[in-house]
Amino acid sequence: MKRLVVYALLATLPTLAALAQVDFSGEWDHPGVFGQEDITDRGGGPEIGDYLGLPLNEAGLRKAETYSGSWLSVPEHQCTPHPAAYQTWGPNTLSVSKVYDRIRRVVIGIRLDGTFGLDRVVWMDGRPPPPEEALHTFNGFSTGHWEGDTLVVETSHMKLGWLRRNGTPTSERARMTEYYTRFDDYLLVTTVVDDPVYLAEPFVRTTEYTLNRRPLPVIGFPLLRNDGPIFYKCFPAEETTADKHHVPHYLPPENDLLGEFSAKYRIPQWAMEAGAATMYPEFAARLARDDSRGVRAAPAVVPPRAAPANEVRSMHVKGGIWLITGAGGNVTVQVGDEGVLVVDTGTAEKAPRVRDEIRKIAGDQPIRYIINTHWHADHTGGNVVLSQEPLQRAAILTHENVGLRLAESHAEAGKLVMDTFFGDSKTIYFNGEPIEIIHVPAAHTDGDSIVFFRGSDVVSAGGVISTQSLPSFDAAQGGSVNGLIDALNRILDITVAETRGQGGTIVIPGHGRLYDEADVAEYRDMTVIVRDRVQSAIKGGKSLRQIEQSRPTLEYDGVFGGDGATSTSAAFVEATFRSLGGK
Amino acid sequence: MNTAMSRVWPRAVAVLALASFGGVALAQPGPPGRPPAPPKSPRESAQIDLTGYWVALVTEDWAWRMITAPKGDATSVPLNPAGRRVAAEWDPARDAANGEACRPFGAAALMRMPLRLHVTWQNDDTLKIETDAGQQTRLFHFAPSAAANAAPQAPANTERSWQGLSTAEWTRPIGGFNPLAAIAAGAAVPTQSAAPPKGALKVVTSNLRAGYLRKNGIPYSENALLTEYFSRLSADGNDYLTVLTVVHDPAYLAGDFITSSQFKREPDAAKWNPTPCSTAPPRSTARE
Repeated sequence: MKRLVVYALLATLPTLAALAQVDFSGEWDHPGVFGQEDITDRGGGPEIGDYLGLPLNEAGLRKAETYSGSWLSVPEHQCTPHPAAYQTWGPNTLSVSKVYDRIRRVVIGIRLDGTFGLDRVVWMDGRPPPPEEALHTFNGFSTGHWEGDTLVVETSHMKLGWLRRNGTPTSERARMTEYYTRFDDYLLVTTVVDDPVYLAEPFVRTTEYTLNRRPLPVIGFPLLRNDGPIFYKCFPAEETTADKHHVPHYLPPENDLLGEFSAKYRIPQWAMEAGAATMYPEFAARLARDDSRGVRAAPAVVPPRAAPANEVRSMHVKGGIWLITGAGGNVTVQVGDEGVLVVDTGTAEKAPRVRDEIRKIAGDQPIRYIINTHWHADHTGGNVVLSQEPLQRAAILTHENVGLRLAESHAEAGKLVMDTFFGDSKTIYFNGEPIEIIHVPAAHTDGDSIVFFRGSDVVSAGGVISTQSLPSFDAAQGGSVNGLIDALNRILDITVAETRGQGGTIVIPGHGRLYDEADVAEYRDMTVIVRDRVQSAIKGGKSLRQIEQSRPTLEYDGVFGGDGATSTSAAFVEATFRSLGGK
Repeated sequence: MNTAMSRVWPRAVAVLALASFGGVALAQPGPPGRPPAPPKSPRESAQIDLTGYWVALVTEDWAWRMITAPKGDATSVPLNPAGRRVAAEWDPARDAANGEACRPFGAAALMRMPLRLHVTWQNDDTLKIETDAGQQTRLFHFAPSAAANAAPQAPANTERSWQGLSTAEWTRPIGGFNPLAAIAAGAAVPTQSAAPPKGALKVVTSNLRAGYLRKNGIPYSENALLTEYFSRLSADGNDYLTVLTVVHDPAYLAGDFITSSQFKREPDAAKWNPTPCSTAPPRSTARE
């Protein structure tokens, strides 16, 4: 039998060679220095207002037209790398190598390196995607498979990105499919970006590389070959005297730079706002006729969002911190030798399941402390169940206003004895790390706290952030838009990104997926931008109805707003209007 | 043989046998004892179907493709001094008067123009690409692979043309399955449908009339050699055709000019709009 197998192996060796997958490993250069397409965009950078050839819809156009180049001066954005959807268009060479399973010595991934600073691994081992609640990154999560001699890469879990470096966006709900095909010594990468939030139809781009056969090619940005680490490990610098929390942007009609590109190329402004039509050949004839009739970026669409998970489940976040989702509101769990500390307890209905999930994580460790970030029932409803411990009831720590609100509401949780604090913060040391409970006044409510686990480097943000809705606050409960912005900035003062603006300190929102500094900054930016739009309109004498008609949340509705009955847009705009004194 | 090996070896044999079968299938021999089957025609052996209507998606180099750039604007093109001198002499009126309005529609630039393609088989050995803008026709003649990698040799007295003489070959399907890795990883034995062979079309073109790489008179010479790779892919319910184009022209280029272009399949000829060669005047005389 053994001999037969050996013969079979020998007989098939030539065939194996023929069937072996294409090996892209090696160094690949753009033709020329930056490539021989769109060199103006890829070198010095595109011009504000150049949206030609991009299938932007109204929301994408709004995002682009209100973008300020000074966005890159914001500390949290300074080190932003090229996102996955743009990386092949960047100036770097491309280094491709295999990632091996160290034990079995089989290829489990393909590493794409040199795309302006961030390594990217395409997993080839069939691993499932991370859960919806997982952190998004600028690279996203990529898996690959072979279709004939083409490597097909599918990517999800991306952060807000761009198609051009002039603010033309891709949303965190975008998905990307790439096709890597080798022809002789050329590598063609076809990128297809499908973004229901900002694009009317998929965006397709092809990028070509030539094989670099130099004996010891230097990987990286060709003009700064000895400075690679600077690009890799970027730290924000103070570049302006502006407030570090300043968010540069243009109010929708006020971006006077938009006309510059139009004037320089003598292309009418209507063409810049024509969206997907600009990609097709017939647009040239329309342009020659100066015929703008019926050409306009497609309406924005709010893609349906999967209903929040009803199943209570947990995932490890970082250090001693876990996240439990599906409980109505997010539940943060710290586990250690001293026991369990819980931040927010979900709804009363889900509390038994949350208790079970905590047991899965922590075994028989008792819950010693519960911290409530605010008084809402989806964050305090489980207090009664989770505080029941056989030997000693868990202590409940909150800001004083939480206790008062619970008492006023006659909620069951309000009947429990609470250890409240009045000042700016309260600190405890538990499970080997300092924990700061920081009061952020007049934000989502008047009793909000954020909880910073110093050792684990995790912030539990409570009601200050919901990744599943536009910002929410209620003046009747002491909330305000400016308080919310201050709270977001307070979080940003705590967070430290690990590499190129992402990773590092992890932020657990009250609802939705994990955030990091870049995500919180984008959420803060959104809150500031909408606030500024409403404020400007109030100054201009606009009524609430007129402001709503101007759709101040247009480019955010598809990411956060929800559609129809689930829309949080109107509530946010009205609350902002009231919060700013609008009548 | 230990237990683990006893599981691996049969799987190895199965996978290798399948791989071996795949290789045999590619070589297309006849059954033992019978004369070999006649070789398939290029049309029959097409690994990808390029036929149909396709529309260019102009998402790159928009300002040089959809409109006419100013005279001398050779951004991204590695023109050498001789090329720059010729570019500076561009006169579209003179071209039109000389019956050379199709200079920007030559093979080296045609796939980069904003237009639609209609791809059909002219016969079993010749693939035809027609364009609506410029009303050009390219013919890809399939030849033995040894000849296809070389510059096509035109018969004596063959006139040069905008589309030149093109030879084509299907690139060998290499396959996307690594049997050794599959065995080691404990993967199931693959099926053909799991990793269908899929190749590309390589086309080499010469015998060209001198033309323009871009509408604004960026030149290529009649000695330019054009190498193209056509492939197909599907994503999000759309079919796409991609073309990687390499223009080699030492007369006017300091290095190869390499671009890639993408087209989306259209269901029919509804948007097919044949128009003769023409070049709109530049929208500005300078972009500074």
